[in-house]
Parts: sequence; structure tokens; C-alpha cells
Amino acid sequence: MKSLSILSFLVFGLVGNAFAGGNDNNYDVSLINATLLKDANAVKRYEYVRYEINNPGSAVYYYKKAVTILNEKGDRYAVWGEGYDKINSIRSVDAVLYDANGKKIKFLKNADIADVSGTSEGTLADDVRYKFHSFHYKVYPYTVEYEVEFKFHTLMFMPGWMPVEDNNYAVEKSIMEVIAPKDYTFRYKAFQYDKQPVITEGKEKTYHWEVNNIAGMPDEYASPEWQRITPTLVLGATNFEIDKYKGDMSNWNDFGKFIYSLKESRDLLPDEIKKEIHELTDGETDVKKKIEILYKYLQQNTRYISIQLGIGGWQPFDASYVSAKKYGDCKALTNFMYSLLKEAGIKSVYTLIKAGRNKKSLVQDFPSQQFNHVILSVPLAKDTVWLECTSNSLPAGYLSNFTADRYALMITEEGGKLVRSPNYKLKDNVQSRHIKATLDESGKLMADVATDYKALQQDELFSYINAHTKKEQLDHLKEAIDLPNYDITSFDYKSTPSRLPVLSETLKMVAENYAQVSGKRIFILPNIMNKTSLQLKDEERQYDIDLPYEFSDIDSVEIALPNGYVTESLPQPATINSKFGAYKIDYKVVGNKVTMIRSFEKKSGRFPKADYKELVKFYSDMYKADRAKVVLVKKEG
Amino acid sequence: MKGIVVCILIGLYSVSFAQKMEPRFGDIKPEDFKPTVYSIDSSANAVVLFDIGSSYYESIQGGLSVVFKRHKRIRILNKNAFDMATIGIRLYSGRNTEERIEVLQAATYNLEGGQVKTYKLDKSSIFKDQINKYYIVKKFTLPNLKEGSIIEFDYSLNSPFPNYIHPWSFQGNAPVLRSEYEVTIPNILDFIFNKIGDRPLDINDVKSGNQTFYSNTPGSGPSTFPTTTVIHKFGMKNVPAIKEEKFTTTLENHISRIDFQLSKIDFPGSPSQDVMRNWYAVSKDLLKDEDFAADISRNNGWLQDEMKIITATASSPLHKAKKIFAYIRDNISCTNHSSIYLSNPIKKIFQNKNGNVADINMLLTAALINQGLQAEPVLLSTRDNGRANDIYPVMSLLNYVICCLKIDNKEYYLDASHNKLGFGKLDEECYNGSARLINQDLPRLIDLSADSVMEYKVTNVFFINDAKEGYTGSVTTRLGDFESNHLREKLAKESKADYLKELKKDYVGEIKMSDLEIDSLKSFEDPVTLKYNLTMDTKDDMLYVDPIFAEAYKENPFKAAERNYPVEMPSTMNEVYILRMEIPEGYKVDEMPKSARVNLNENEGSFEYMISKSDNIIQLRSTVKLKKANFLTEDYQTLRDFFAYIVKKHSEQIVFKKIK
Repeated sequence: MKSLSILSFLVFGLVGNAFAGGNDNNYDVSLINATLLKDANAVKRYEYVRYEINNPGSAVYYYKKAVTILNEKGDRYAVWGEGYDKINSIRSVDAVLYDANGKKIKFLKNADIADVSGTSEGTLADDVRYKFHSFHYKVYPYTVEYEVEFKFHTLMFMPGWMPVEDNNYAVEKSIMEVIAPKDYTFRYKAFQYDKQPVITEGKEKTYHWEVNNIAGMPDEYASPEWQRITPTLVLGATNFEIDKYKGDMSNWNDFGKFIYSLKESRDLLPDEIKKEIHELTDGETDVKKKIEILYKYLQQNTRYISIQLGIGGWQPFDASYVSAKKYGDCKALTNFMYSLLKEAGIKSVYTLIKAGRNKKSLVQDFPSQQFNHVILSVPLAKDTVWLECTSNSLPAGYLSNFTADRYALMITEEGGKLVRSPNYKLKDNVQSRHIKATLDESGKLMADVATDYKALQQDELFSYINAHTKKEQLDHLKEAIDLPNYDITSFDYKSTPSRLPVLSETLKMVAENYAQVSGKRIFILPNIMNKTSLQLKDEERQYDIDLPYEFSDIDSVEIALPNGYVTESLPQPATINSKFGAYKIDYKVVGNKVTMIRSFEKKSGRFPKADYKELVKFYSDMYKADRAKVVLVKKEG
Repeated sequence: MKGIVVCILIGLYSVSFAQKMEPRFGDIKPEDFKPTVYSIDSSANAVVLFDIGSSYYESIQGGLSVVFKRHKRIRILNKNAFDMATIGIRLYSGRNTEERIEVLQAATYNLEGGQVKTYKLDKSSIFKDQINKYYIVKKFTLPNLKEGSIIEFDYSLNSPFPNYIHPWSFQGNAPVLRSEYEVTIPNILDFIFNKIGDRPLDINDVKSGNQTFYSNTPGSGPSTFPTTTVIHKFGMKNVPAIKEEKFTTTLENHISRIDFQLSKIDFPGSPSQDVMRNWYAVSKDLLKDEDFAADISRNNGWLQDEMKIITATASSPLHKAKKIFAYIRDNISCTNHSSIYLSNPIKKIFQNKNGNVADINMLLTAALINQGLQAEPVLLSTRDNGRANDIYPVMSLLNYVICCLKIDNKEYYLDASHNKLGFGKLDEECYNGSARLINQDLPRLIDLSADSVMEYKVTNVFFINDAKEGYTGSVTTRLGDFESNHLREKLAKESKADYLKELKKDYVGEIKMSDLEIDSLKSFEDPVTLKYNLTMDTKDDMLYVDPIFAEAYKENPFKAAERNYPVEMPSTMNEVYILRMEIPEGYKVDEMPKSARVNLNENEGSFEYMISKSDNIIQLRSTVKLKKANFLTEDYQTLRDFFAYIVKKHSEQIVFKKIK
């Protein structure tokens, strides 16, 4: 069998012969095992990573890494770049360039390292900077070796170890070592690594992990997250210090206490805002209504501005700061909203989360700093209202795909508690569309299109229309629909805010030459607006299939035909039921009308790799069925 | 950084020079909040009420400095314009010299209970960001911003570079009601003004004035230095927001703005110095310039050994040149495709094996000369860099160097900075009008217009009744040079399997494609050829065939109904499609499209669609030709109609009916 699982490629070599940083490896390309070269763009020849804990507020992180670049696709692994700030500083960088024979041809000069601001667009101020370097070499194959040392002024963020850095990236040898004082306990968790670390005790305790000869992994559609398919190690502190604060992350509860200590007593509001809150909410008895009113107040009076300096990356600005400036980042705005609710007598919870469209994987049994965002949760008797405080437009209680369906850490005085954010399902994420159209003899289609987008299906469009003018929306609509030649003559959006928001779109569309008029025949594609574009490569599958998001689409189309034509060819109806979902399309001609009804339910979940062929067929059948044409022919005489 | 440095012989120090700055900072009235929509653009998120700037000279210790002032007021209409309340001012900050902000104030104004409330920016909310070694950005955001707020800022920037006058944009992402820029230049300096964009100036005034500079030269003590000045005022009213459109070389060519180029320095008591001279003088200097071509006329013995090996088997001068070109292209990697000056002496480039585009093509020029060939550097501006000045040697508008090789009176333009460009081929970015040959005796213009280059693509399709395989076809497409290059770049980044998957999307229904072959992917002098096979199911009573398959224009490249700028395509084109198909066995032709021919504006382009049937063979030939790459805004509709016709014709089908 060809598709070996990744673990069977792992051959754990002799440990004990611990490498220090200073060895002279031979990077002659001819020494690379042929199995590693197959499908690889780069081969990591040797890597030694060392994380040395001094005390809860200090560590040294060191690595030496040599990568052989086999072709142009591998060039990006030859570019070195690291971010740093005031808490994690780069102490030294050394690098050597080797040719194919492993001969040293160039050394890094410090003047060649670019040092640039890491402040991204949308951030007003932070400490982040980047150092970059590249040898800009292109005679393949070649090898670059980088040796870097960092000083970490906290144990709050410990580095991980992930020897395989990308698809089509092979690894010859990679070693990870953690050196800790005997009286300091750190925590670790390994994935796809079936051994325990080798521990040696001297003055300090050294933990050693090592992998050898891992072949390049193919880039596959919907492959599982990295730590489920390749060796990975995560590290976490017990007690740690940052700036003048002390914390413990042995468990979520204690980590929560630490975060709480950073935000404690920052909820003081000026009197005039307190007065406003009472004016707005005192007359209201329903708690949910009160939350909605104050959330609207937040959305209308503040905006998101990111300022992250020093401990400010973790500590929110005071509510009084936001009161004065009317802006803040996620921490500051969440804390401000918390303060507003508190003044109205509603208890809410500052909640850490890992935000991002495809960043749902939190290692929930490994307490550590895995978050990048803060939202607010308001636990009520029956349910919880979730508030994204950086958005000026989301309805109260709805989280978009930026934060939905994942673990989050609620921060209270008592400590941290892991909870799940809301999950939106197949029957929530619905797109339903009805098209009523008329076709004339020249092939011109005039259509009224009414579409309701619900929950996650409305996210993208919702944020688009909230960030663009009517004119921009129209320009966008004129380009965005997958039709060859069309124009939008009028359009409208109506938003129905709720915990499952609906965005209704109505369009009037004219598409010249929509139908192909060819002599006495007219060719019509009845599926006007919802054709799947996904086509998968038909190949051997190596990993399981991970389909993250579920939704359903319902489409109905009705096209009035020009007079004097009869149907010559009508597509067969198609029904596909599979574990990946259900698809159905049906075409009919009744009187002078062509109708099409289509439904598609896409399920989410994890599927064994053996199912891949079925997935390919599912989408390829759908691709074809979605594009079937009705042929009309002019009546004789 | 290389520039022409103005040498000021006398030490000068400060002078006060009153500037009329109207209107006043903070002078906001409740009625200013009245409009909720502005007639200039009813859908605008924000409107710039005014943007008023000035530049003038001042004495500083050791020379002249330029003061740039700017006062801008913006009405924020809705939250989509909140980004405009975050402002960054970029400043040069080198080791010894820096630009400084001397005065900065900013405020938000809100109408609260009929009163204008002012919220000033506090100084502690101004942040400094060190972008890189040379630049910092002063960044701030305005407090208390609401939909409907008016924001305002005002700053004064002092720059120690007297040869650089801050350029001015009249146009931005929001419409501007009033934009004015006043520039006061002492008559000891002369500038060329370069106005960009099609929109005319509403204000373009000149008057003269007087200004006294002060000097304090060690030894001779303080002295005054009166001069006359020329005061230029440029302005535009009601300028619409910038709009991006497809088929423009670069938006930069269309944004209304003005920039300044120092041309002459004329100090009393010292000879007048032409900074902006003519191309003869500039070429002469460039050929001696260590940062440009000085190296190419040297002996360069260090090249000898390597070149000897490389050219050992060369059979002719052309063959020799090709070997040298390939060696430089394949071994020296390009770190930056925008530079006209060397980053290092070319010997160093040769050793380091990397350099910018000027480094690489200058090294190529030197290597060709070293091997007894005739080669010269050529300067140009790439398309994304905007238009160059065809008359004046405005170096700041140029950003690219190529090499001109001459063998037997034939010229070849070479660019070794792209690792997939063949000998004598240029990237489409280089076809931006004209280039300048740097030659001592005749620094002439070289025509590199988009009109001068043609993208020629030919596709052949054959369908036959194969006894074994059934009804099968073969497709051969020879791509044009630019498309070949795009495909080479694409396949360097993604796999052939991914590309095949993409091609397959064009074949739906009864037709399947297989066996993709790509020729000449690595032989960069030849166009890339794609070959693949098709099979068609012939079971149904009726067969409907799109005879142009994947090559059909399925949609109009000119989608937008309106057009603001001229259409600028990278080349002219000629696309030929030839089909020869046997009628599928057991079928007869029921219906077939008719031949047609149309011209675009008489002879600027043409579309031919010729189809015929004889015995059991159908032959089809479709030709789409554009003889021009650039079209006026007024011609847009005609061009759009032309392609609409092609789209329609290309969608027509051949219908076969089973013989019963």
C-alpha cells in the first residue's frame, strides 16, 4: 500500500548522543535519502531547538536550523524572519549559505538583516518588530543554516516544536530540548509522537525529543489540522511572571485568575456616562433588551483602534480611557462594555478566545496562552448572550465565523472556566433563493432575484455591505455574480438582526445573451446563480477528510420562455445522497415555463480517507448536474 | 539613496516668512454640520472640505531647508470613513539628517445640543513607528469620533533637502471640495513641474515676491541675502474620489497630482549649475557614474576566467551572447525589480550572486562588453511605476535598467533579472511607452510601447472518429509570449496537477479532457505549447457541441458599463483558433453557426468567424485581432460592443442529429 500513515515514516534514532549547537554537519545534498526527496520542495537537514528556563520571568530560546532548498517552490523556506518585541528580544543571528556539495559559500553580515516595524495596518501602535534576512540565492539545490538566540522575559509564552513546517517539506533530523531548573515544573503535551521524552539530570533537568526521516506530506483538500497529522509538541508554564505581574497556568482556573488580575478595577466610568446608562436602561425591565440597548450604545459611540504596548498587549485600557477617547482595542472595548453592563446591574464575563475563520483548534486539556482575542459573554438564567465588542454592526448575541463554535475561557474573580461558543448548524446556515425570470428570443434574461442569507451564510455579505456605500455595493454586484454578461438595474438589502440574523437581498438583473441562440435553437442554463465551482483532484488520499462548516442551500428558478419554441432536450433530474451531504436538482417544463429546483445540504465532520473517492464523485456529479442545459427548438411553420 | 545634492556654499539661518493660511484652525460653525449628503458624491463616506498646503524655503545653519505645511479638514459622514481619522505622516530619518514635524495639532468636532464641541488630540496619543532604517511614521487617531464628526489637522514639516519639494495630490479616496498648494521658490532654484492626471487645474497662478535669507559663514560673519521669489499656486475644486478600473497601466497615471523636479541652481557669485540638463549631458555623466555604468568601460579582468569557460563552446557572437545572458540570468538572483542605480560595484554583485535589476543588467552589459560584444544600458520606467518623461531626464520617474545588445546591426533587448525570461524577451511591465538608450553620442529613445508588441496565440483542434477510442479530439495551443511567462511563473509555484484541474473546469458534460502535456516550459525563448486530448460521448440522439471549447470568449473582458480612464492593455493581440472536425459517425449536421466578420473602428481590430462543411468535415476558423493596445475613454463602448459580439458568436453551437 502506498499511502502510509505519517507515523510509519518516523524512525526514532538513537537519542543520548545529544547534539549541542556547535557541530559541523555535512549538508551535501547527495547524502539525502531518496525517500525524503520525493515530492519535497525543501528538506530540513538538521534542527536543534533549545528552550532553557532560568526562572519564572526569564528563558533563553535558541535554535539552529539547516534547510536544503530543492527548487523554486522551496525558496520561501530560505528566507529567515522573526518577530520580536520588548518581552521577547532577539539576541543574535548567524547564518551560512551552502552550495549543493555542502560547501560554505557565504556568511550572514549583520548589516544585511532588515529590521522593520511589525505594526500592521489597522494598528495604531504596538511594539512588534521583525527582522528579516535572505541570501537571495537561486542555484538549486542549496542549503541555508540559521542560528538564532532569543531572550524571553516571561514564561507566559513558551515556544512549541513542529519539525514539519509545511506540505512537501521533509525532515531529516530535528531535536527539541527543554532545560529547566530542578525545582521548576513545566508542562508538555506531544501529538503524533509515541514516545516519552528522554530526561537526563545534571545540575538541571534536560528533556529531549527527536524525530528523524519524515517524508514530505502532500497538500490535500480539507486535510486535518497539523497536530493531528505530524509530530507536534506544546509547552506550558506553571508559575510565571510578566512585567510586574505573577501568574500560574497549571490549570485554566489559575490562568483565569491571572488574566483577571490584569483587568481588575478597570471598570470605573465617569458620572456623565453612568447617567446616560441609567437614562437608557432604567425604564426597561427585560434584561435582554437592556443588553441590546447598551450594546447598541457601545456600537454607536466607540470604534476599534488597536494599541498594544508592553503589558498593554494583555491588559485592557481603563473604562475611563475609552470614555474619553471613544476608541479602544478588543480588551478595552470588552472591558468598557462590561463596565456599562455592570452599571446597569448586569453581570457579564470578560472571555478570551482564539479568533479567526479557521482557528478553532484549542488544545483544551492543556492550559496555556492560546488566545488572541477577547469577547464578552453575558450568562443569563437560561442561556448566554455573546457580544463581539469590536464590531459596529453585528446584532447582539450573534457571533460570526470569526469566533463561533470553539472553546473560550471565561474570566471571573474565581478564575477561568472553559466553555463553548455558539455553534451554527446546517439548518441555521441557510441560503434560500427564488428567481423569477423572463427570456426573450434574443436570449436576453430579465430576472428578479430574492435571496435570504442566514447566520454564517450572511457573514461575508453582511460585513461587506456594512463597510461599503450603496454605490460600491452596486459596483461590486455588477462584478461579483458568476455570469458572463449581466447588469444589475436595482438592488436592496434588508437586515433582520437577531441571534440568527437574516440578510435579505433583492436584485433586478438583466443578462444579455444569457441563453445561447444558435439558429433555430435556444440553449438555456436554468441554474442561473448557484453552481458549485469545486472540483477535486482525483488522487490517492493520505489523510482523513476534515470538513469544517455545514450549511444548506435551497434554490428555485422559474423562467418564462419566448413563444413559439418546443423543448428538444431536458436534463435528467439528479439526486445524490452521501455522507457528505444531500444534493437534488430537478428540471421541468410546464406550459411556457422552465423550472428548476435545487437543494444542497453540506454536512461537516471528519471522514476517513477511504471516503475521498466518494467525495470527488459527489462534487464532480454536482458540477455536471449544475450546468445542465435545456434545449429549445423553434416550432416548424 | 542617490540624489542630486545641492551644494549650498553659504551658511544661512532662519527667517520668518509669513504664510497666509486660510481658513483658521478650529473655526467650525454649527452650520458646517448641516449637510448630510454632498452633491459632489451622494454616496461618499467622507468629504474633504479642504486640503490646503504650502512649501517655502527657510535659512538653516549650513543651508536651506524646505517647510511644508498642510491643513486638512474632513467631514466624516459614516463609520466606513473612520479609517480616515487615523493619520500617518511619513518622515525621512537618516543617520545625520531628518525631517521634523514642528507643529502638529488635530481635533474632532461634534455637534452636541446645537453647540460645536471640540475634542483635541493630546500629545501623548501621538505614536512614533520606526518603519525601517530610513523612515519613521508619526501616527495618531482622533478622539471622540462619531458619524457626522468633522476632523481637522494641521502640521508643519521641516525638511533639510532643498532639492526636494513635497509633491501634492489633489485627489484621494474621498472627494475633495477644495485642494490648494502654494509653492514659493527663491529664484536661485529652478524646478520643472510635472502635472499628472487628465483633470485640469482650476487655479494655476504665478506671482513674484521677495525673501531675505540670512547667512552666518564662519570667518566672514553674518550677512543678509535678499532674493526674489516665484510664488505658484495650484488648485482644484470638487475633485471626485479615485476609482480603480481594469486595464489601466497604473492608477498612478490618473490620480491628479503635481510633483517637482529641480532643474537649475543659480547662486549669486557661483556659476549657474544645470541640475536637469539634457539627455546628452546626463548620459555622458551616467556612463562615468560609479553608481551606474562606470564599471562597464573598465577592463573587468575578474570576469575573464568565468566568461571564458561559459563561452568556450560558442560558435558565433550571438551564440556567445546567449550563453553569457543565460549564465547571468540563472546564477544571479534579483532582490529588487525597481532600481536604476547599483547597490554595489558589479564585481561584488558577481561574487554575491544577487543584486537589484540595475546591478544585474549592468553586470550583463559589462560581461558582454568584456567578451568583445557591443552592449549598452537602457533606462526605463515599468508600467506599474507610471509614465516616464520622454523629453527631460527626470531620473526619479525611471526605475528599471535593461541591456541593449547589438550584433550585425540587429538590436536585442535583454533582461537577465527575471529567471524565466528568454534571450531577447522583455517582461510586459517594460512595455510602457519608451526607453532611453544611455549612449554618449546618441542617447535616443527606444520604442517599447504596448502597441509595438503583439500577443499571438494559435490553437488547433482536430476531432476524428477513431475505430478504437471512439470520437476523440486533440488540442494544441501555442501561447503568446506574455501568457507563456505567466504560465511559467504559475507552474513554478503550483503543481501541474492543480493546473490540470483548473483546465478541466472548462470541459463539462459529454466532453472529457486528459493527457495534458506542456512543451517549452523550460526553453524560455520559445512560447509554451499545451497539448491534450478530448473524448466525446456519442450516445444521445442529439449532440450539442460548443465548437470553440475552452478557447471561447465566455465573458466580456470589459464588464463595467462606464469608463473613467483610457483603456491601456499590455499589448496588441492576434488570437487564432482552428477546428477541423469529422462529423461523428452515425450523425448528420442538423444545424451549424453562420460565418461572420466585423471590424473594430474600421481597422483597429477585427473578428472573423469562418465555418464550412464539406462531405463529413467541418472546418472553423476564428480570429480575434486588436491592432492597438491603447484606446481612448470615448472608444470604450465600441470596444465593449466588439467583444460582446465575439462572446455571442463564440457561444453558438453545432447540432448533430443521429441518423435513424
